[in-house]
Amino acid sequence: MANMETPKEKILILDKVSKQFGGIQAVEDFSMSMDKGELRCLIGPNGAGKTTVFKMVMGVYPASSGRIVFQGEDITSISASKRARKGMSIKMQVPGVYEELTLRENMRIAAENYVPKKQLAEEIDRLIELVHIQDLGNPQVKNMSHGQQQWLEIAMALASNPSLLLLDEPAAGLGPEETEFTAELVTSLNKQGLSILFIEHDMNFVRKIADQVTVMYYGKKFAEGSIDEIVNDERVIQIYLGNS
Amino acid sequence: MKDLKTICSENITALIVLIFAVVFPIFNSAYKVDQFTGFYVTCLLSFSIILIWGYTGIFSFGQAAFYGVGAYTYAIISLCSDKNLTILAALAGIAIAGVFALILGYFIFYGGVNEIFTGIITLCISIVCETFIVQTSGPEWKILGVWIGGYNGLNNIPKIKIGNFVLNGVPLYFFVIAVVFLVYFLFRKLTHSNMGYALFGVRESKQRSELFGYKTAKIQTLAFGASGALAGLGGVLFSAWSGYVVPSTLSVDNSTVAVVMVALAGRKNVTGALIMTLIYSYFTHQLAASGNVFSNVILGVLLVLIVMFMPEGALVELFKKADMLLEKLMGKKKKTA
Repeated sequence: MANMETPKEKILILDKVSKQFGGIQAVEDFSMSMDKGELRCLIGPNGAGKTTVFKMVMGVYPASSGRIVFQGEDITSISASKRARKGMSIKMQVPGVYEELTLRENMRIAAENYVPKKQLAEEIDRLIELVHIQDLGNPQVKNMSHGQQQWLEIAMALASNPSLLLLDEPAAGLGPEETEFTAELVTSLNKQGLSILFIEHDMNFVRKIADQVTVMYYGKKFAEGSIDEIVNDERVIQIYLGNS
Repeated sequence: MKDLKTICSENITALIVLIFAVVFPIFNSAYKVDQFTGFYVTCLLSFSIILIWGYTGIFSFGQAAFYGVGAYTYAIISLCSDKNLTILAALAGIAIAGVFALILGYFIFYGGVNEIFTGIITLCISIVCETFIVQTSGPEWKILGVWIGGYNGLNNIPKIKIGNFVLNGVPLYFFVIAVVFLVYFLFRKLTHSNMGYALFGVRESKQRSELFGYKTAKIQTLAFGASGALAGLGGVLFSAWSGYVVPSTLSVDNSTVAVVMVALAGRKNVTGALIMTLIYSYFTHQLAASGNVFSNVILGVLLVLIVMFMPEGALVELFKKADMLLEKLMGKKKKTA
């Protein structure tokens, strides 16, 4: 994992980032920044633009306007593959695993750009163990449960030894025990110095692990602060629960 | 994907095919040997489809165009001079087909053309190449002094010469199977290499691979170029073996037959493609030679049945079943999820 560095140093800055799809403004003038080693959550009602922001950060969608700065470098116009090689990694909302391949083949594809060939098997073992799927053997990924696929994807995302990990709904579709383990895993990765930005709808999960929370609403930043500030913010409660 | 050291039905079958290929000339007539040389040459066209479709996930109907470019290049250069230029002609055939595919691939993959349109573009390339060659019957259509000949194509193409030794008959057969098995073993090696996994990643999800740091457009372009060169190698050997080349060598029909053979076997399995190409070529030839007017109908029905009931490919399914039987016999317990 990346080493702990000065907390004030910024790992990611989004400066007035916007994204338009035809006539639809998915994200508008969205700004936020993250310190190195921070564990931040991005929340908001469905359609708020959270996943779009993730995809702009990773380079899947080019930003229509604004600037994205990663570790002090403007990465707004570079390709997704270059961004990945610069040290950012993502677990997608729908598990982005190679379903037709086996567990170890998935890990191999994720790791081979970053790990010397001689250490590949050892590193794959370590990561599989880290996410607790070592007892599965080497099944075809499509035969693994949803939770196992989520953890496999986290292991794959960690294979590049990233400085910033983006997790899009890591607890979605998981049972209580699986959610508990995922929370422990994310916290432990963060404690080792990894900066993590995640999207989540499960507020218990968010309460348990997030340092800072950014709220999005209709493509814009709506609120920002510590988890306590956010859960007690009347306006945030209102956009989630409505006037009733 | 099993490696070559594993005892499994795929490897046992590959070994049997290799032994069959080596001893075949001892027990068969010169005519049969010559006929099978042609079947092995077709395997290279199938391999090129395995590389681009099976390994990289790009559906291409244009492989026959690269095959034809290789064949015509070899024919023209080897016919253009009395000098012994067949090795140069062969190398030029492979290189020009590869560069042609590379340039085409560059525009397709860096241009962000999607899968369906890639299939359509490659289909068009075959049609354009065939149509172009067909209209070269006029005397003005000469390259290096060789008249291309339109519909009639080129005849009396010299055999490959190594020094003063002319590859013909049994020596040509052994040369062709050496090339085919060399390419086959390279494929098996590729399967477990970093490049192989990069291709599989792109095949399964281009976007996901991009997010793991792969330059997917570059990988696809290189794979397309390599598959073009491989088809070109097939075309060179076809030209040298048959002694003629005609516009239909570049046709969509030729591409389609190769795609069908690979689909029947299982597009991700090179051993299956090798065996199915030999079986398909043999039976098509036998049906045609028997005067059966329904040969294409019979093969078509067979294709539909296999696609319906064995979508992963007939030989891949057979390998799986045989492996289960083999493991039972060897008393091994399969590792399960």
